[in-house]
Amino acid sequence: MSERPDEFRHLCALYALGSLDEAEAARFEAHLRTGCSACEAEIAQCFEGTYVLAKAVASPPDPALRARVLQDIANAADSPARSTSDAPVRPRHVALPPDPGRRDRRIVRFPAIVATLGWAAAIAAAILGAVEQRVVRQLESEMTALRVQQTQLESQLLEERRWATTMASPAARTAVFAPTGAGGSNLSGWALYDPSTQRAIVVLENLQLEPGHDFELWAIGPRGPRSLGVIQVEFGGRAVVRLTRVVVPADLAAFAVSYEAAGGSPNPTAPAGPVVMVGNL
Amino acid sequence: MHMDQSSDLLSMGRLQAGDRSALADLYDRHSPVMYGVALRILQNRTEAEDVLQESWMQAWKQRGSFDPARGNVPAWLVTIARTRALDRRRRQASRNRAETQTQVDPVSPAPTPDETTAHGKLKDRLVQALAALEPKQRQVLEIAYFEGLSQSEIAARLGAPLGSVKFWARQGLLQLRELVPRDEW
Repeated sequence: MSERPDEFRHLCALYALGSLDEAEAARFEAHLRTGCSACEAEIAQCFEGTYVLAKAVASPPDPALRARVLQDIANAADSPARSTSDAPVRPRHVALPPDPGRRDRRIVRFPAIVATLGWAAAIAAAILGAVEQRVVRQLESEMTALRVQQTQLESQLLEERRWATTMASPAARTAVFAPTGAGGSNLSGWALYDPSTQRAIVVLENLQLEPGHDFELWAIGPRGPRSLGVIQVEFGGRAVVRLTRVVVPADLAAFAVSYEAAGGSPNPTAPAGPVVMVGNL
Repeated sequence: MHMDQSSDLLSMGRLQAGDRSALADLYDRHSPVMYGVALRILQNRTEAEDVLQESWMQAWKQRGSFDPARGNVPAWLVTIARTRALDRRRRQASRNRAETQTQVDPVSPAPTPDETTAHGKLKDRLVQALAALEPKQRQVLEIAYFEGLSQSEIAARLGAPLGSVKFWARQGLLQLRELVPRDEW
């Protein structure tokens, strides 16, 4: 993991919010250009935080606006295109109609035949051109989509490597979940927490979910519990949860699982339902 | 990969290749957040609608600049809308200052009420996540994000040291991200 001065660590959030003063923003960007992966990763996380902020105020616009926006863009897309690539194809190699003032029949008739043949060729070329253009567009579209997918897969691979590092970290702490008696006695699981990356993997077994309920995972620190979200239970009652940025390392004392009404506890700092499992770190 | 993220990337790929039909999909998925942010910043429906319209035009024109390796589609689109709304707000504020000393609306601790129940559950979760932040953290994030103030301006507004503003901003954003993971967007 690359080292970075604390001063930069504390600037990532304000950078993502666009609130750094000009001079500090310039200094921070110079630091980013050194390739600080820790800051880049944290900025990405902070951007996700800003999106939560944005999503909290989401509000549907007037439905009539949709048609106006799409029409505006259609107009904008059409107007420059007509003057360039989408303009009607004009056959450049076709002779212009002969000058009616000229009397030499050979000169007049020969170009006329050429012109007839030329127009046929031009029409064929125009059709082929249109088909070709559509195929090219489709291929470009597919290539772009594939490029995007490739980038995402590379990013996923990088993420998987990070998780492998977490699993193998010598600093990692483990916890074995024990049932509290408030749920099934066969509930079990384990958690692995790496303070150096603040990542954790939690694996839970024998989660029996009734309709209208969810299991919720909690991080327990000195200031009390904090929700880590509702657990997605797989077929067979198993759940694998991967967590990033798990509070402050020294704070985390245990993980717990509660049994809640669907959607989880309404209070993100206290379970509403019974705590069914606890795993002390 | 989350379904919506894949759909976004595919739509963006189509858009970058000049396929305008992809725009409708993106519009349907992201306009509520873009409009909501603009509305919150400008506090005026007509202005927010103008911003939404301009933002989509900008997204169309600058579609080639979107780089999936450097950000996700929703964040890119919301950034466009937010930047345009803040620019408009600053222009309005300078006009207002010339006429009166009227302050912009104070930041409220709770987000603007939603006008639909379609996303009620997620919305509840988001509101809870915001409510779970320390008041200073929430205040710093709201001032920075919806009013576009710089760190020094925020520190002056709150009468707090700059270091505290940095700390609250960082803790608040990371906590929000933890409380509402990306899979739930």
